[in-house]
Amino acid sequence: MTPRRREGAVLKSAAAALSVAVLATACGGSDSGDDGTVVVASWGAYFTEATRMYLADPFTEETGIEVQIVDAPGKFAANLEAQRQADNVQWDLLDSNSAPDAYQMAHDGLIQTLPEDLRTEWAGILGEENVEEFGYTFSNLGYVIACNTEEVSDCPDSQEAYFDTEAHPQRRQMISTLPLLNLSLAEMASGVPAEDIPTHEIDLDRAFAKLEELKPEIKVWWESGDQMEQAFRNGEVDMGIAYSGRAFGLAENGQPIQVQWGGGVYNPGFWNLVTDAPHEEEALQFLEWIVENPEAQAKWAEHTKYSVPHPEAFDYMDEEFKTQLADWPDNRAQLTTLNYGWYAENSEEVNRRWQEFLRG
Amino acid sequence: MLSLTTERPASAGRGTTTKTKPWSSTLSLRTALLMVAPLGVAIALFVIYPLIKLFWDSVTLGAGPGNYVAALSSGAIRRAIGTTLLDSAVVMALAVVGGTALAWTLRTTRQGWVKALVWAAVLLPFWMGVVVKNYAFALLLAREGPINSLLLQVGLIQEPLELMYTQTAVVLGMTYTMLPYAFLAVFPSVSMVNLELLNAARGMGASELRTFGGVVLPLIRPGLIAGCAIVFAMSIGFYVTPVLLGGAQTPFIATVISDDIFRFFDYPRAAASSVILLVIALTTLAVTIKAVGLRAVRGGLG
Repeated sequence: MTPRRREGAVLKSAAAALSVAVLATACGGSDSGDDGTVVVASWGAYFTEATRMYLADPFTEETGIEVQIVDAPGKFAANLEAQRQADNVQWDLLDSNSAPDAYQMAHDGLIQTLPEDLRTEWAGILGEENVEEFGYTFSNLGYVIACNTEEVSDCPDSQEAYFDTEAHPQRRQMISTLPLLNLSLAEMASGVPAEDIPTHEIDLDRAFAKLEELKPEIKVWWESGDQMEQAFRNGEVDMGIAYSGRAFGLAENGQPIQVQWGGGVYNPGFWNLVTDAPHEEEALQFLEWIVENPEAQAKWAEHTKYSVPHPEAFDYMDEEFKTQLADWPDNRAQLTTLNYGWYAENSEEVNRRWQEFLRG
Repeated sequence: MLSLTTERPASAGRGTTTKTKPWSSTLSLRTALLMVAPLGVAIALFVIYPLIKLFWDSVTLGAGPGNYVAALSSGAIRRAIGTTLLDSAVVMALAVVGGTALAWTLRTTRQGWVKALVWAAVLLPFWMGVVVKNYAFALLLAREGPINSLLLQVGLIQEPLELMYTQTAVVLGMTYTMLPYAFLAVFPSVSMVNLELLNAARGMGASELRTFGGVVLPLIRPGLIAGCAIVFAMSIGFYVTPVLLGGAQTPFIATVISDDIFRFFDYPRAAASSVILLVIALTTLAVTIKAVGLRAVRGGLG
């Protein structure tokens, strides 16, 4: 074979290899395309596991509709924004989107307003307070004060006490990603009554000044629940603001952790339907199925330690476990909610000032 | 690096004009160009185009050139730039000194097991995943971790030291990561030092310090400078280590860029901050090349 021929042969096989690769990509693309598979974005690890085992699999068994779960913890909004900008929306549903994100994404049009007839029907089952225009609550939790009982004998049960560094000189941790929560906690510490917080317009200068006072005692600004647990286990901090479910999980695993519902904040998650969802019809069927299955919700809750909206779900749960949930009436009564509407309007300024406070 | 990889096959091809030989180990110019083409296309697509686009976006999107004003008027970003430059400079010094010590040990030792140990010390952090490395440091530096426990037990300290989520933690973690790069940059220069020169210097009455300063240092200078440039340029782009070991309160430029992209969807300001980061890195390299010449930097790179 002359060198020239050889080159030609190499080129041909290279071209063949390339076209195979292109075909494979194209097929891969259509795989998750138009066969009606509902694509759900979720939070990974045991969260995705629970949604897969107790919601998606039984639903697929009943209806034959496949459900694909994509892990994108904390990155729902950024991913959807990118999908929208690329004009290629791939997700249908958001599993347990956090409240501040849900209100913001509804404000920005990233998630849909649900059909009114469905909303009315679901409000009848779950209760008015659990259904919003853009979704229903799920994986509800409390942002609570948690303490290491070996270091803190009188765990604060109000924000006034939590922000009092003289009475409680211990090392603290707080959540770095939720400016509205931290500012609201600071306002409660400044004397705004908890029951006013849902409609209270935050005085930013006062709230940031209050946080600035506490800042030297905050040794860990956590971004994920794992990090929060790790900081308690390592002894990096003695008390802090924690997810209620994670805090009880630590206690269950033998850590000396006490949870206070007083001074806490109720934070619902939401099932949301994505704007321009490629499989809207199937996605709505899945949402409907979850609403109508309190037993599935109860199992999901026991797996994740997060609360679920169906009132009858408590009937299927362990006696002790249900008293650890944010929706359990005794706990719910002690929690306030945040003014998400105000935040959605002012998020740009709040987020900027938050970044300057945290990083500056 | 770039010019190295593209130049070599092309210049090798230039020499061959004979087509009479049935087979030659040197390639024709055409074949050589063809073989380099995929890399050239990849670089154009994945390096040059994005950089141009990044720069273009930073001056056209959002507030236009005002993006730079926005970036530089933010206290958080200014502080991040300061932290990044300072920590990277410290990491550079530590890594190059450590890397040179290792390289010099490897050059001068006759013990096989010492050589093996040095290579292990250099290559282990190189092979470990970035998360594993940082997690190991997080465990070591924890408040109730081994370092604090040991110091407490020995009685050197009464209260555990504040190690995690500090600049010290970031510098330690980054130095460990950058040590192999520094070593690999200085090793070629160090390995070429003729040890007879040391004997000659000693024979003429020079002290050990004078021998090192007057003979060794000038010989390995290109390697040292190349090592400094590589370590510094790579350090200022770090993201994972500052986030994991430094926490929210020790931001690097990459941290605030990520804030802008993932939290605030402010691509224009993120682009401006990225260009600032890039300019700092390129300036470092340019100054280095100007100082010692491209040949020396390349020599240092092996």
